[in-house]
Amino acid sequence: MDWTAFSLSLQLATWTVALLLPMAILIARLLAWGRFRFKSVAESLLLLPLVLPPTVLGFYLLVAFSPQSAFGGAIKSLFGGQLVFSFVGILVASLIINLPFAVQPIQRAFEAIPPNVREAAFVSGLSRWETMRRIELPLAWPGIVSAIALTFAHTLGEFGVILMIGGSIPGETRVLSISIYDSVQAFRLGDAGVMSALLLGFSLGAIAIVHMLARRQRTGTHGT
Amino acid sequence: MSISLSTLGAALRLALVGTLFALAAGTQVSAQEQPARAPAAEQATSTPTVAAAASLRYALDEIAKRYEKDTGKTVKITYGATGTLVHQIEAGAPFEALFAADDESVKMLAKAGKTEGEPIVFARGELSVAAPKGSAVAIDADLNGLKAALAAGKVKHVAIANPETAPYGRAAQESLKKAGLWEQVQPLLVIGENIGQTATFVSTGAAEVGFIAKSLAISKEIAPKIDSAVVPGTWHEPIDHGMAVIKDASPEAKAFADFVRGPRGREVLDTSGFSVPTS
Repeated sequence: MDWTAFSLSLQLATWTVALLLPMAILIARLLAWGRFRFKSVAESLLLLPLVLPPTVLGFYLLVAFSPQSAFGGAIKSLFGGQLVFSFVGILVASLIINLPFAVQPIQRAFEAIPPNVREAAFVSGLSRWETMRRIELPLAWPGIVSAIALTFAHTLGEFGVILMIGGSIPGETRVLSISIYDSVQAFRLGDAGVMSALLLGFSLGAIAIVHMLARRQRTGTHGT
Repeated sequence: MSISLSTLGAALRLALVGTLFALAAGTQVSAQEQPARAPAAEQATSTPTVAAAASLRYALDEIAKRYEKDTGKTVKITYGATGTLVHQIEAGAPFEALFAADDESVKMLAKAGKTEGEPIVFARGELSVAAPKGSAVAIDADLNGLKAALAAGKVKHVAIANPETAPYGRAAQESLKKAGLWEQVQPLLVIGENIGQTATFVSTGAAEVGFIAKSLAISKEIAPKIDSAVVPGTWHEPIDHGMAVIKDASPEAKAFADFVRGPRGREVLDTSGFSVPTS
Protein backbone atom coordinates (compact mmCIF):
# COMPACT_ATOMS: atom_id res chain seq x y z
CA MET A 1 0.00 0.00 0.00
CA ASP A 2 1.44 3.31 -1.12
CA TRP A 3 0.41 5.84 1.56
CA THR A 4 2.45 8.63 -0.02
CA ALA A 5 0.40 8.21 -3.18
CA PHE A 6 -2.84 8.13 -1.22
CA SER A 7 -2.00 11.31 0.63
CA LEU A 8 -0.92 12.97 -2.62
CA SER A 9 -4.22 12.03 -4.26
CA LEU A 10 -6.17 13.50 -1.35
CA GLN A 11 -4.14 16.70 -1.56
CA LEU A 12 -4.67 16.96 -5.29
CA ALA A 13 -8.42 16.39 -4.89
CA THR A 14 -8.72 18.90 -2.03
CA TRP A 15 -6.84 21.61 -3.89
CA THR A 16 -8.81 21.00 -7.05
CA VAL A 17 -12.08 21.42 -5.15
CA ALA A 18 -10.83 24.46 -3.22
CA LEU A 19 -9.61 26.32 -6.31
CA LEU A 20 -12.34 25.22 -8.67
CA LEU A 21 -15.39 25.84 -6.49
CA PRO A 22 -15.37 29.67 -6.40
CA MET A 23 -14.63 29.74 -10.11
CA ALA A 24 -17.38 27.21 -10.82
CA ILE A 25 -19.97 29.14 -8.80
CA LEU A 26 -19.27 32.32 -10.76
CA ILE A 27 -19.31 30.56 -14.12
CA ALA A 28 -22.47 28.63 -13.23
CA ARG A 29 -24.23 31.82 -12.16
CA LEU A 30 -23.27 33.53 -15.37
CA LEU A 31 -24.48 30.60 -17.47
CA ALA A 32 -27.71 30.18 -15.50
CA TRP A 33 -28.91 33.79 -15.61
CA GLY A 34 -26.56 35.76 -17.76
CA ARG A 35 -27.48 36.70 -21.31
CA PHE A 36 -24.57 37.24 -23.65
CA ARG A 37 -23.48 36.44 -27.16
CA PHE A 38 -21.92 33.05 -27.83
CA LYS A 39 -23.42 31.66 -24.63
CA SER A 40 -24.06 28.27 -26.22
CA VAL A 41 -20.50 28.23 -27.54
CA ALA A 42 -19.22 28.90 -24.04
CA GLU A 43 -21.40 26.14 -22.66
CA SER A 44 -20.18 23.67 -25.26
CA LEU A 45 -16.55 24.54 -24.60
CA LEU A 46 -17.14 23.98 -20.92
CA LEU A 47 -18.45 20.49 -21.61
CA LEU A 48 -15.46 19.61 -23.76
CA PRO A 49 -13.37 18.02 -20.98
CA LEU A 50 -16.23 15.52 -20.45
CA VAL A 51 -15.77 13.97 -23.87
CA LEU A 52 -12.16 14.86 -24.63
CA PRO A 53 -9.91 11.82 -24.06
CA PRO A 54 -7.59 12.62 -21.13
CA THR A 55 -4.66 11.50 -23.26
CA VAL A 56 -5.45 14.26 -25.76
CA LEU A 57 -5.33 16.89 -23.05
CA GLY A 58 -2.24 15.16 -21.64
CA PHE A 59 -0.52 15.36 -25.00
CA TYR A 60 -1.28 19.06 -25.44
CA LEU A 61 -0.17 19.84 -21.91
CA LEU A 62 3.05 17.82 -22.29
CA VAL A 63 3.97 19.80 -25.37
CA ALA A 64 2.82 23.14 -23.90
CA PHE A 65 4.48 22.61 -20.51
CA SER A 66 7.83 21.60 -22.00
CA PRO A 67 10.37 24.39 -21.41
CA GLN A 68 11.15 24.30 -25.13
CA SER A 69 7.67 25.56 -26.03
CA ALA A 70 6.68 29.24 -25.91
CA PHE A 71 4.29 28.74 -22.98
CA GLY A 72 6.61 26.49 -20.99
CA GLY A 73 9.52 28.83 -21.70
CA ALA A 74 7.54 31.83 -20.46
CA ILE A 75 6.59 29.97 -17.27
CA LYS A 76 10.20 29.03 -16.75
CA SER A 77 11.51 32.56 -17.11
CA LEU A 78 8.69 33.94 -14.93
CA PHE A 79 8.74 31.42 -12.11
CA GLY A 80 12.04 29.63 -12.58
CA GLY A 81 10.37 26.25 -12.66
CA GLN A 82 8.43 24.06 -15.00
CA LEU A 83 4.93 22.65 -14.89
CA VAL A 84 5.66 19.32 -16.48
CA PHE A 85 6.51 16.61 -13.90
CA SER A 86 5.30 18.79 -11.01
CA PHE A 87 2.43 18.86 -8.53
CA VAL A 88 1.34 22.27 -9.76
CA GLY A 89 1.32 20.89 -13.31
CA ILE A 90 -1.03 18.03 -12.49
CA LEU A 91 -3.15 20.45 -10.45
CA VAL A 92 -3.56 22.68 -13.52
CA ALA A 93 -4.55 19.64 -15.58
CA SER A 94 -6.96 18.57 -12.88
CA LEU A 95 -8.65 21.99 -12.82
CA ILE A 96 -9.25 21.85 -16.56
CA ILE A 97 -10.52 18.27 -16.57
CA ASN A 98 -12.92 18.87 -13.67
CA LEU A 99 -14.49 22.07 -14.94
CA PRO A 100 -17.72 20.44 -16.20
CA PHE A 101 -18.02 18.27 -13.08
CA ALA A 102 -17.95 21.37 -10.93
CA VAL A 103 -20.00 23.76 -13.06
CA GLN A 104 -22.83 21.53 -14.26
CA PRO A 105 -24.48 20.60 -10.93
CA ILE A 106 -24.23 24.16 -9.64
CA GLN A 107 -25.65 25.60 -12.85
CA ARG A 108 -28.63 23.23 -12.70
CA ALA A 109 -29.23 24.19 -9.08
CA PHE A 110 -29.17 27.91 -9.90
CA GLU A 111 -31.53 27.38 -12.81
CA ALA A 112 -33.98 25.61 -10.51
CA ILE A 113 -34.38 28.73 -8.35
CA PRO A 114 -37.65 30.45 -9.37
CA PRO A 115 -37.03 33.92 -10.85
CA ASN A 116 -39.57 35.54 -8.54
CA VAL A 117 -37.52 34.54 -5.50
CA ARG A 118 -34.57 36.54 -6.79
CA GLU A 119 -36.82 39.39 -7.86
CA ALA A 120 -38.33 39.50 -4.39
CA ALA A 121 -34.83 39.74 -2.95
CA PHE A 122 -33.94 42.66 -5.23
CA VAL A 123 -37.23 44.42 -4.46
CA SER A 124 -36.54 44.01 -0.74
CA GLY A 125 -33.41 46.03 -1.30
CA LEU A 126 -30.82 43.29 -0.99
CA SER A 127 -27.63 43.98 -2.91
CA ARG A 128 -26.36 41.56 -5.53
CA TRP A 129 -23.78 40.19 -3.15
CA GLU A 130 -26.31 39.78 -0.35
CA THR A 131 -28.78 38.09 -2.69
CA MET A 132 -26.10 35.63 -3.66
CA ARG A 133 -24.99 34.99 -0.12
CA ARG A 134 -28.40 34.81 1.58
CA ILE A 135 -30.72 33.57 -1.15
CA GLU A 136 -28.96 31.96 -4.10
CA LEU A 137 -26.21 29.97 -2.44
CA PRO A 138 -28.39 28.46 0.31
CA LEU A 139 -30.97 27.40 -2.27
CA ALA A 140 -28.30 25.96 -4.54
CA TRP A 141 -26.36 24.13 -1.87
CA PRO A 142 -27.38 20.59 -2.94
CA GLY A 143 -25.87 21.36 -6.34
CA ILE A 144 -22.76 22.74 -4.72
CA VAL A 145 -22.29 19.67 -2.54
CA SER A 146 -22.81 17.48 -5.60
CA ALA A 147 -20.14 19.45 -7.42
CA ILE A 148 -17.73 19.02 -4.53
CA ALA A 149 -18.34 15.27 -4.29
CA LEU A 150 -18.07 14.71 -8.04
CA THR A 151 -14.93 16.82 -8.42
CA PHE A 152 -13.25 15.23 -5.44
CA ALA A 153 -13.98 11.66 -6.50
CA HIS A 154 -13.17 12.33 -10.12
CA THR A 155 -9.80 13.84 -9.21
CA LEU A 156 -8.94 10.84 -7.04
CA GLY A 157 -9.50 8.62 -10.05
CA GLU A 158 -7.67 10.76 -12.58
CA PHE A 159 -5.20 8.73 -14.59
CA GLY A 160 -4.66 9.50 -18.25
CA VAL A 161 -3.48 13.09 -18.01
CA ILE A 162 -1.29 12.43 -15.00
CA LEU A 163 0.28 9.43 -16.71
CA MET A 164 1.14 11.65 -19.67
CA ILE A 165 2.61 14.65 -17.84
CA GLY A 166 3.45 13.35 -14.36
CA GLY A 167 6.49 11.14 -14.74
CA SER A 168 5.47 9.06 -11.69
CA ILE A 169 7.57 10.91 -9.11
CA PRO A 170 6.91 9.68 -5.56
CA GLY A 171 5.41 12.43 -3.39
CA GLU A 172 5.08 14.80 -6.35
CA THR A 173 3.10 13.23 -9.17
CA ARG A 174 2.70 9.53 -8.35
CA VAL A 175 -0.94 9.62 -7.31
CA LEU A 176 -2.96 6.60 -6.23
CA SER A 177 -4.22 5.64 -9.67
CA ILE A 178 -0.68 5.71 -11.08
CA SER A 179 0.60 3.71 -8.13
CA ILE A 180 -2.08 1.08 -8.78
CA TYR A 181 -0.96 0.89 -12.38
CA ASP A 182 2.70 0.54 -11.38
CA SER A 183 1.80 -2.21 -8.89
CA VAL A 184 -0.06 -4.23 -11.50
CA GLN A 185 2.87 -3.81 -13.89
CA ALA A 186 5.22 -5.11 -11.22
CA PHE A 187 2.87 -8.03 -10.44
CA ARG A 188 2.16 -6.73 -6.92
CA LEU A 189 -1.51 -7.61 -7.17
CA GLY A 190 -2.07 -7.47 -3.41
CA ASP A 191 -1.07 -3.80 -3.23
CA ALA A 192 -3.12 -2.99 -6.29
CA GLY A 193 -6.12 -4.73 -4.72
CA VAL A 194 -5.98 -2.73 -1.49
CA MET A 195 -5.55 0.61 -3.27
CA SER A 196 -8.28 -0.18 -5.80
CA ALA A 197 -10.70 -1.07 -3.02
CA LEU A 198 -9.96 2.26 -1.39
CA LEU A 199 -10.74 4.19 -4.57
CA LEU A 200 -13.87 2.10 -5.08
CA GLY A 201 -15.03 3.10 -1.61
CA PHE A 202 -14.46 6.80 -2.29
CA SER A 203 -16.28 6.62 -5.62
CA LEU A 204 -19.28 4.83 -4.09
CA GLY A 205 -19.38 7.42 -1.32
CA ALA A 206 -19.39 10.28 -3.82
CA ILE A 207 -22.19 8.73 -5.86
CA ALA A 208 -24.21 8.10 -2.71
CA ILE A 209 -23.92 11.76 -1.73
CA VAL A 210 -24.90 13.02 -5.17
CA HIS A 211 -27.81 10.60 -5.40
CA MET A 212 -29.13 11.46 -1.97
CA LEU A 213 -29.04 15.17 -2.68
CA ALA A 214 -30.65 14.79 -6.07
CA ARG A 215 -33.54 12.88 -4.54
CA ARG A 216 -34.00 15.38 -1.78
CA GLN A 217 -34.09 18.15 -4.32
CA ARG A 218 -36.73 16.36 -6.39
CA THR A 219 -39.04 15.57 -3.50
CA GLY A 220 -38.59 19.17 -2.41
CA THR A 221 -37.53 20.19 1.05
CA HIS A 222 -38.31 23.85 0.55
CA GLY A 223 -40.25 25.64 3.25
CA THR A 224 -38.59 24.05 6.22
CA MET B 1 7.54 36.96 -9.10
CA SER B 2 10.01 35.52 -6.69
CA ILE B 3 8.08 32.42 -5.65
CA SER B 4 9.29 29.46 -7.63
CA LEU B 5 6.84 26.85 -8.84
CA SER B 6 8.40 24.08 -6.84
CA THR B 7 8.11 26.16 -3.67
CA LEU B 8 4.46 26.77 -4.49
CA GLY B 9 3.91 23.05 -5.02
CA ALA B 10 5.66 22.22 -1.77
CA ALA B 11 3.63 24.86 0.07
CA LEU B 12 0.37 23.56 -1.34
CA ARG B 13 1.22 20.08 -0.19
CA LEU B 14 2.50 21.17 3.20
CA ALA B 15 -0.76 22.98 3.83
CA LEU B 16 -2.51 19.66 3.63
CA VAL B 17 -0.45 17.54 5.96
CA GLY B 18 -3.63 17.09 7.96
CA THR B 19 -4.97 14.83 5.29
CA LEU B 20 -2.53 12.18 6.39
CA PHE B 21 -5.15 11.05 8.91
CA ALA B 22 -5.60 7.87 6.94
CA LEU B 23 -2.11 6.75 7.95
CA ALA B 24 -3.66 5.37 11.11
CA ALA B 25 -5.16 2.41 9.37
CA GLY B 26 -2.34 0.16 8.25
CA THR B 27 -4.14 -3.11 7.79
CA GLN B 28 -3.19 -5.27 4.87
CA VAL B 29 -5.93 -7.00 3.00
CA SER B 30 -4.69 -9.72 0.70
CA ALA B 31 -6.38 -9.46 -2.61
CA GLN B 32 -7.41 -12.63 -4.33
CA GLU B 33 -5.33 -13.40 -7.31
CA GLN B 34 -8.02 -14.36 -9.68
CA PRO B 35 -7.38 -13.16 -13.20
CA ALA B 36 -10.48 -13.28 -15.33
CA ARG B 37 -10.30 -16.22 -17.67
CA ALA B 38 -11.74 -15.23 -20.94
CA PRO B 39 -12.33 -18.11 -23.28
CA ALA B 40 -9.27 -18.54 -25.47
CA ALA B 41 -9.77 -17.13 -28.91
CA GLU B 42 -9.52 -20.30 -30.90
CA GLN B 43 -10.47 -19.36 -34.38
CA ALA B 44 -7.46 -18.73 -36.53
CA THR B 45 -7.86 -15.63 -38.61
CA SER B 46 -5.74 -15.04 -41.64
CA THR B 47 -4.24 -11.92 -40.03
CA PRO B 48 -2.65 -12.92 -36.74
CA THR B 49 -2.27 -10.48 -33.87
CA VAL B 50 1.01 -10.42 -31.96
CA ALA B 51 2.10 -8.36 -28.97
CA ALA B 52 5.45 -6.59 -28.64
CA ALA B 53 7.34 -4.35 -26.25
CA ALA B 54 7.46 -0.65 -27.05
CA SER B 55 11.23 -0.72 -27.62
CA LEU B 56 10.71 -3.03 -30.60
CA ARG B 57 8.27 -0.73 -32.35
CA TYR B 58 10.30 0.55 -35.29
CA ALA B 59 12.19 -2.70 -35.86
CA LEU B 60 9.11 -4.91 -35.87
CA ASP B 61 7.13 -2.50 -38.03
CA GLU B 62 9.93 -2.73 -40.58
CA ILE B 63 10.06 -6.53 -40.31
CA ALA B 64 6.30 -6.71 -40.79
CA LYS B 65 6.64 -4.57 -43.90
CA ARG B 66 9.24 -6.94 -45.35
CA TYR B 67 7.15 -9.93 -44.34
CA GLU B 68 4.25 -8.52 -46.30
CA LYS B 69 6.48 -7.83 -49.29
CA ASP B 70 7.99 -11.32 -49.23
CA THR B 71 4.90 -13.39 -48.48
CA GLY B 72 1.93 -11.15 -49.22
CA LYS B 73 0.66 -11.78 -45.69
CA THR B 74 -0.01 -9.18 -43.05
CA VAL B 75 0.25 -9.21 -39.28
CA LYS B 76 -1.25 -6.95 -36.63
CA ILE B 77 1.14 -5.81 -33.90
CA THR B 78 0.07 -4.39 -30.55
CA TYR B 79 2.77 -2.45 -28.70
CA GLY B 80 2.83 -1.89 -24.96
CA ALA B 81 4.75 -2.34 -21.74
CA THR B 82 5.82 -5.97 -21.43
CA GLY B 83 4.22 -6.32 -17.97
CA THR B 84 0.85 -5.17 -19.29
CA LEU B 85 1.04 -7.51 -22.25
CA VAL B 86 1.83 -10.49 -20.02
CA HIS B 87 -1.19 -9.69 -17.85
CA GLN B 88 -3.36 -9.42 -20.93
CA ILE B 89 -2.16 -12.76 -22.28
CA GLU B 90 -2.80 -14.40 -18.91
CA ALA B 91 -6.29 -12.95 -18.99
CA GLY B 92 -6.91 -14.52 -22.40
CA ALA B 93 -6.09 -11.69 -24.79
CA PRO B 94 -6.02 -12.94 -28.38
CA PHE B 95 -2.27 -12.42 -28.92
CA GLU B 96 -0.58 -15.31 -30.70
CA ALA B 97 3.01 -14.40 -29.99
CA LEU B 98 4.84 -12.14 -27.57
CA PHE B 99 8.03 -10.25 -28.37
CA ALA B 100 9.10 -9.03 -24.95
CA ALA B 101 11.61 -6.46 -23.73
CA ASP B 102 13.10 -9.03 -21.32
CA ASP B 103 13.40 -12.78 -21.12
CA GLU B 104 11.87 -13.30 -17.65
CA SER B 105 8.32 -12.51 -18.67
CA VAL B 106 8.26 -14.99 -21.54
CA LYS B 107 9.79 -17.59 -19.24
CA MET B 108 7.04 -16.83 -16.75
CA LEU B 109 4.41 -17.38 -19.42
CA ALA B 110 6.10 -20.64 -20.42
CA LYS B 111 6.06 -21.80 -16.82
CA ALA B 112 2.36 -21.07 -16.61
CA GLY B 113 1.84 -23.29 -19.64
CA LYS B 114 0.76 -20.41 -21.84
CA THR B 115 3.32 -20.86 -24.57
CA GLU B 116 4.05 -23.34 -27.26
CA GLY B 117 7.59 -24.65 -26.94
CA GLU B 118 10.41 -22.94 -25.08
CA PRO B 119 10.88 -19.18 -25.29
CA ILE B 120 14.07 -17.97 -26.96
CA VAL B 121 16.19 -14.82 -26.88
CA PHE B 122 15.92 -13.25 -30.32
CA ALA B 123 17.59 -9.88 -29.82
CA ARG B 124 19.75 -8.02 -27.37
CA GLY B 125 19.06 -4.35 -26.79
CA GLU B 126 21.45 -1.49 -26.10
CA LEU B 127 20.96 1.47 -23.82
CA SER B 128 21.45 5.02 -25.06
CA VAL B 129 21.79 8.23 -23.12
CA ALA B 130 19.90 10.95 -24.96
CA ALA B 131 19.19 14.66 -24.70
CA PRO B 132 16.91 16.89 -26.75
CA LYS B 133 18.72 19.13 -29.22
CA GLY B 134 19.81 22.31 -27.47
CA SER B 135 19.83 20.68 -24.04
CA ALA B 136 22.27 21.89 -21.39
CA VAL B 137 23.57 18.33 -21.14
CA ALA B 138 26.40 17.30 -23.47
CA ILE B 139 26.03 13.70 -24.53
CA ASP B 140 28.84 11.16 -24.46
CA ALA B 141 28.93 7.42 -23.86
CA ASP B 142 30.76 7.60 -20.53
CA LEU B 143 28.29 10.12 -19.08
CA ASN B 144 30.99 12.74 -18.44
CA GLY B 145 28.75 15.43 -19.96
CA LEU B 146 25.92 14.40 -17.66
CA LYS B 147 28.27 14.44 -14.68
CA ALA B 148 29.43 17.97 -15.51
CA ALA B 149 25.88 19.24 -16.08
CA LEU B 150 24.77 17.72 -12.78
CA ALA B 151 27.67 19.38 -10.98
CA ALA B 152 26.73 22.70 -12.57
CA GLY B 153 23.12 22.24 -11.42
CA LYS B 154 21.83 22.41 -14.98
CA VAL B 155 19.79 19.21 -14.85
CA LYS B 156 16.23 19.37 -13.57
CA HIS B 157 14.91 16.05 -14.83
CA VAL B 158 16.41 12.73 -15.80
CA ALA B 159 13.96 10.47 -17.63
CA ILE B 160 14.19 6.71 -17.30
CA ALA B 161 11.72 3.87 -17.71
CA ASN B 162 10.34 2.25 -14.56
CA PRO B 163 13.34 0.21 -13.24
CA GLU B 164 11.01 -2.17 -11.50
CA THR B 165 9.14 -3.21 -14.61
CA ALA B 166 11.05 -2.12 -17.71
CA PRO B 167 14.39 -3.71 -18.65
CA TYR B 168 15.74 -0.47 -20.09
CA GLY B 169 14.82 1.24 -16.83
CA ARG B 170 16.74 -1.39 -14.88
CA ALA B 171 19.71 -1.02 -17.21
CA ALA B 172 19.61 2.77 -16.77
CA GLN B 173 19.65 2.36 -13.00
CA GLU B 174 22.59 -0.04 -13.17
CA SER B 175 24.53 2.24 -15.51
CA LEU B 176 23.95 5.31 -13.34
CA LYS B 177 25.14 3.35 -10.31
CA LYS B 178 28.19 2.22 -12.23
CA ALA B 179 28.96 5.81 -13.16
CA GLY B 180 28.54 6.85 -9.51
CA LEU B 181 25.69 9.21 -10.37
CA TRP B 182 22.70 7.30 -8.99
CA GLU B 183 22.51 9.09 -5.63
CA GLN B 184 22.71 12.46 -7.31
CA VAL B 185 20.19 11.64 -9.99
CA GLN B 186 17.56 9.97 -7.84
CA PRO B 187 15.68 13.13 -6.79
CA LEU B 188 15.61 14.25 -10.44
CA LEU B 189 14.12 11.08 -11.87
CA VAL B 190 10.97 11.14 -13.94
CA ILE B 191 9.61 7.72 -14.71
CA GLY B 192 8.07 6.75 -18.04
CA GLU B 193 5.62 3.88 -17.85
CA ASN B 194 7.41 2.25 -20.74
CA ILE B 195 10.49 3.10 -22.76
CA GLY B 196 8.39 4.72 -25.49
CA GLN B 197 6.99 7.27 -23.07
CA THR B 198 10.47 7.89 -21.68
CA ALA B 199 11.65 8.65 -25.21
CA THR B 200 8.72 11.07 -25.60
CA PHE B 201 9.76 12.89 -22.41
CA VAL B 202 13.22 13.42 -23.92
CA SER B 203 12.26 14.16 -27.53
CA THR B 204 9.66 16.78 -26.54
CA GLY B 205 12.27 18.51 -24.38
CA ALA B 206 10.26 18.00 -21.19
CA ALA B 207 13.31 16.30 -19.64
CA GLU B 208 16.86 17.57 -20.32
CA VAL B 209 18.31 14.10 -20.48
CA GLY B 210 17.15 10.49 -20.39
CA PHE B 211 18.03 6.86 -20.91
CA ILE B 212 16.24 5.14 -23.75
CA ALA B 213 16.58 2.14 -26.01
CA LYS B 214 19.11 2.59 -28.81
CA SER B 215 16.45 1.21 -31.15
CA LEU B 216 14.33 4.29 -30.40
CA ALA B 217 17.23 6.74 -30.26
CA ILE B 218 18.33 5.93 -33.82
CA SER B 219 14.84 5.66 -35.31
CA LYS B 220 14.06 8.22 -37.97
CA GLU B 221 11.14 9.57 -35.91
CA ILE B 222 13.22 10.42 -32.85
CA ALA B 223 16.83 10.74 -34.02
CA PRO B 224 16.45 14.23 -35.57
CA LYS B 225 15.20 15.65 -32.27
CA ILE B 226 17.92 14.36 -29.97
CA ASP B 227 21.63 13.74 -29.45
CA SER B 228 22.43 10.27 -28.19
CA ALA B 229 25.27 7.88 -27.41
CA VAL B 230 25.30 4.20 -26.49
CA VAL B 231 26.22 3.52 -22.86
CA PRO B 232 28.94 0.82 -22.50
CA GLY B 233 27.27 -2.58 -22.50
CA THR B 234 29.46 -3.72 -19.59
CA TRP B 235 27.81 -1.15 -17.30
CA HIS B 236 24.55 -3.07 -17.08
CA GLU B 237 23.22 -6.61 -17.29
CA PRO B 238 22.38 -7.62 -20.85
CA ILE B 239 18.96 -6.52 -22.09
CA ASP B 240 17.77 -9.76 -23.59
CA HIS B 241 14.56 -9.69 -25.58
CA GLY B 242 12.71 -12.99 -25.35
CA MET B 243 9.95 -14.21 -27.60
CA ALA B 244 7.43 -17.00 -27.39
CA VAL B 245 4.59 -18.33 -29.48
CA ILE B 246 1.39 -18.49 -27.40
CA LYS B 247 -0.53 -21.75 -27.13
CA ASP B 248 -2.99 -22.48 -29.93
CA ALA B 249 -1.41 -19.86 -32.18
CA SER B 250 -2.34 -20.01 -35.84
CA PRO B 251 0.18 -21.25 -38.44
CA GLU B 252 0.29 -17.68 -39.76
CA ALA B 253 1.48 -16.37 -36.40
CA LYS B 254 4.15 -19.07 -36.22
CA ALA B 255 5.29 -18.23 -39.71
CA PHE B 256 5.75 -14.59 -38.70
CA ALA B 257 7.66 -15.60 -35.55
CA ASP B 258 9.98 -17.71 -37.72
CA PHE B 259 10.42 -14.83 -40.13
CA VAL B 260 11.52 -12.53 -37.28
CA ARG B 261 14.13 -15.10 -36.26
CA GLY B 262 15.18 -15.78 -39.83
CA PRO B 263 17.81 -13.96 -41.90
CA ARG B 264 15.45 -11.21 -43.11
CA GLY B 265 14.33 -10.39 -39.57
CA ARG B 266 17.88 -10.51 -38.21
CA GLU B 267 19.01 -8.08 -40.84
CA VAL B 268 16.43 -5.50 -39.72
CA LEU B 269 17.10 -6.06 -36.01
CA ASP B 270 20.81 -5.62 -36.66
CA THR B 271 20.36 -2.24 -38.33
CA SER B 272 17.71 -1.11 -35.85
CA GLY B 273 19.90 -0.94 -32.80
CA PHE B 274 19.85 -4.54 -31.61
CA SER B 275 22.48 -7.21 -31.63
CA VAL B 276 21.30 -10.66 -32.61
CA PRO B 277 22.47 -13.85 -30.86
CA THR B 278 24.15 -16.18 -33.34
CA SER B 279 22.83 -19.48 -32.03
